[in-house]
Amino acid sequence: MNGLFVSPSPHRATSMSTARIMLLVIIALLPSAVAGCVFFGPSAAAVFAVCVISCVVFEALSRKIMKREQTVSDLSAVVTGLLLGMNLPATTPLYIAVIGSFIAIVIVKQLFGGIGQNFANPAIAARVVLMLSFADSMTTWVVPYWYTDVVDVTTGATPLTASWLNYSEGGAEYKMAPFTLGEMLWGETGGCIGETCAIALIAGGIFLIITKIISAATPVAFIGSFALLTFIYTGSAVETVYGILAGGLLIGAFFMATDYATTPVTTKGKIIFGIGCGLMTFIIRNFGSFPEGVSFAILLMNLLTPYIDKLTLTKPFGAKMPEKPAKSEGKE
Amino acid sequence: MNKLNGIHLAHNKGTKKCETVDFPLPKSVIIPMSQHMGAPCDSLVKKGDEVTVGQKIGDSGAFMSAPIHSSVSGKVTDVTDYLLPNGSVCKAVVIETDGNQTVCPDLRAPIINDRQSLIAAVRDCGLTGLGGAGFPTHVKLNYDPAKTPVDTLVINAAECEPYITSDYREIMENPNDIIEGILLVQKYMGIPMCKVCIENNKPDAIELMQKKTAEIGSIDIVTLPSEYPQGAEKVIVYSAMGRIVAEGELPSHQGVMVMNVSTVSHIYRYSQDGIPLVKRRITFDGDAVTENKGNYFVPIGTRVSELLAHGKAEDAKKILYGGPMMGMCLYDTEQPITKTTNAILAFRKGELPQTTACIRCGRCVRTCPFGLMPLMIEKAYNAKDVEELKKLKVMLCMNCGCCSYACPAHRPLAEINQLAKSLIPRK
Amino acid sequence: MFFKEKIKPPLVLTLICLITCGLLVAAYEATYVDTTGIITDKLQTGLTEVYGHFEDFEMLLNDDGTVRTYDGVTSILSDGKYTAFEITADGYSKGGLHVLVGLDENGTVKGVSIMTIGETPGLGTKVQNTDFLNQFSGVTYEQTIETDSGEPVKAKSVWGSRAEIQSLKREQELTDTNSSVNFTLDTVTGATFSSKGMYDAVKTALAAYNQMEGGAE
Repeated sequence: MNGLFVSPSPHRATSMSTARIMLLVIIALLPSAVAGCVFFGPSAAAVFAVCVISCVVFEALSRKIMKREQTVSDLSAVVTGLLLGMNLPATTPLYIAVIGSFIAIVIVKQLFGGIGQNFANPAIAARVVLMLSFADSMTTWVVPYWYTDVVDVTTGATPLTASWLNYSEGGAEYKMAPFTLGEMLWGETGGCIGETCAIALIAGGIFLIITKIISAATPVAFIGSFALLTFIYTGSAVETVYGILAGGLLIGAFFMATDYATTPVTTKGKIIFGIGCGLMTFIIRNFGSFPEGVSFAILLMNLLTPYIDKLTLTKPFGAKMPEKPAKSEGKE
Repeated sequence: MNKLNGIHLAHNKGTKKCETVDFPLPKSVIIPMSQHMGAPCDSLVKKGDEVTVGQKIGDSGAFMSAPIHSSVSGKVTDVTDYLLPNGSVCKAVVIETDGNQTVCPDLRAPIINDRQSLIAAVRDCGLTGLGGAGFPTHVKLNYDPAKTPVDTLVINAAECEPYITSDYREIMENPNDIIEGILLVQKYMGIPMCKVCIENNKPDAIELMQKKTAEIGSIDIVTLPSEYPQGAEKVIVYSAMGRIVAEGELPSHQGVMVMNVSTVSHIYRYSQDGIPLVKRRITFDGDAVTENKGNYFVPIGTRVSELLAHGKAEDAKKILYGGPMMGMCLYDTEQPITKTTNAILAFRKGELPQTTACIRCGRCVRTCPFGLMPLMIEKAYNAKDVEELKKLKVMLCMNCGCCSYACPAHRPLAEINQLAKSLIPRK
Repeated sequence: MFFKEKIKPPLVLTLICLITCGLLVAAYEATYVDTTGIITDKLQTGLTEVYGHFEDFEMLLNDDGTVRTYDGVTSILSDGKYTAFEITADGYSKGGLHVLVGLDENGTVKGVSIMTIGETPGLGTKVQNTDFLNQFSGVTYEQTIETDSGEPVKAKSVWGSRAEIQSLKREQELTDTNSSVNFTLDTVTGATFSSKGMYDAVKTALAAYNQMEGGAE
């Protein structure tokens, strides 16, 4: 009868776990990953496979070498691999994908202490490093269903690099988007494997919001601020919608800017983070030297996260806040 | 009015329909001299003394204390050292029962005719908060009406912890005692308003109380959402009245006095029969209990092992005083039922899920009723950064356990909050 | 307290950055060597790339001895037969393209050499691609005279169907082939601005040559 188990309260725990959160994120990513494989073919699937496998292997190896407890089973490495794969063009040479996984898992994540400790989103940091190091392969975009053309590789422009088509009709000047609205929504455009299918990304994002894995604050603030700025700048609803659907904005807003470890904890902080990302994306896309700014925006805001966290501490219930300033300044 | 955070738990109130029965008299009881918040009592008896039911066996000169009475008639076999679940040691009186349950001949119904006599009676009764914290009730009543006038008596019948149904049974079985108790306190303390707060998962209790108080203008029944921790003092004051009991304040600073529903009805019963707090109702439940789950009147000092034998709970791995969220673990089944025990829960499984690294998901912040940031507190605690801990207001933590419960990494955040509190020097 | 904890540290860091930048600028200014009028190593390499030799080239001077310049042209080099123009053009970054545009005796482009490039690594720097640069060979002044207004018209943005987009694209291709007079540049994907900058450099050189009326004496 003895041998009672003694522990401090509470004696109940949620059934949610890190692994389950990661599993739900993987489920939310799957539709867009599948869409990417359909549009960009076997080589996209190969990039995914290489990214996921090498991320898991690097995670396992680095934990082993650092003599830390194994964390592969929390599935976070799978999420990182999947996200990295989604952020690469389908024609990325596989060795580059492996290098990206190394940067993401070993350099950005494990060297800083593993899950929860990384200063930046591993997938984003890896994408940025690859973009600067292998600019050629990282900016070669194939057209959807290119793999069905056996003769040669057809490259094409992404929604962000393609130029709008000018024409005039009845004396008025018009500018036609280089892709139809349907193509933009469905994702039949050039781009990174997982960023083109807007419908799948939005569905995944809504799934995560409903299951309370992510807060709606970040994506709403991110997309909202970007849309507002774009609308003010261009004065065109068409260009605003086009801008939201183009490039990595949706995947960034729903899946990267909502990463727990590298974004602020409080809702207020998340809103600030989202607005910062939206602003930065808008500036880089319109005035910067890169056609796409989502990765840079999120990366830069990642670095600001500790600062935002410090500025957005919650005000505890019934806490008496102004203690010291009242003494030192109030009297003067 | 913003809603305070909280969590939704499975209610598990399987003993809700179990009418309270008297627990068979044990052969011997062990009555600790510290069953309340404050100074422990000194034992008034020694080995070999004969005692009767209701006889005072422990008292203290300290204000923050409550006397202790024998729950049985019999012979004192020992006055030993006893290790309390909170880690400190006090004296405990071991009494062998004679089976007669002879009531102490000196017991008289108290004469209550003003504020002071009510407070004195409540002290004589040995009454402490029956909800679990064990705050001596006479201390609570002894506020200074000139400094902190109290206009509302909040009766806490939220019972937000899973499994526990003892307060619910009190409402269903003794609604008149509760109402009489409220009226008694209102009358002599001069409190014009009373709000009885019940969670909405007990609709029949709400209905019963509403029916019984329909004629009484000074008593309101408030329906609370069933969300843990509605029954926490500051939370219930806010939910019922919208008043914020600030840092370092007592509810009386906000004109409120919070009293557990069983406590208030006990005041009434004592005023009628003069029998002090010698037995109480507990809920006996948990997955290790294979039979006789239910609500019992148990003499204070009854060993938990007697209950476990009664419930055939041989393979209990974890036994709790109180509910699964804030209850304390027993280290030994020979530990007794005390005044603050509202439930004994026995579970087959003791271990909690394995702890993994913090992923900064913020669930602890989103569930904390007081808006604290347990993840930041943990960091500051690990760094032993007292200034940061003060800034994070760790002292406000009431150890409700929401953060630990909600943490997907299963980090012991509530525990760390308590450890962190100890780093902050008291003024 | 708020100022001291939250505002001061980033402010100090910003100041440190500003001061460092200032020092860098000062160091650059202090060690700057004026190369005006000198055929630098870079120019020599550029000339060799276009013409195969640089020895006979001389910088054209005005009557008063100063270096002869034109709008957008830093210096003009000539060996009596060929004329080369040193041009700094704006790509994505201002003044990001420092190029030498070499013309042959007829005033058509013989070759273009990039001497310094300050464009986005990996994107803008793609204009260094030989295939891209070779497009400029044989381009004449006449081909670069703009026929369209060049001024961006405030157009209304619209969505189109796939068919409309295709027909517009075909239409534009048709216009391009019909007006064979005009030179159209195949811009490098992802380096639109740098490509345009290169085109501007070539245009500037041809315009300057044309202005010189018959080229070098």
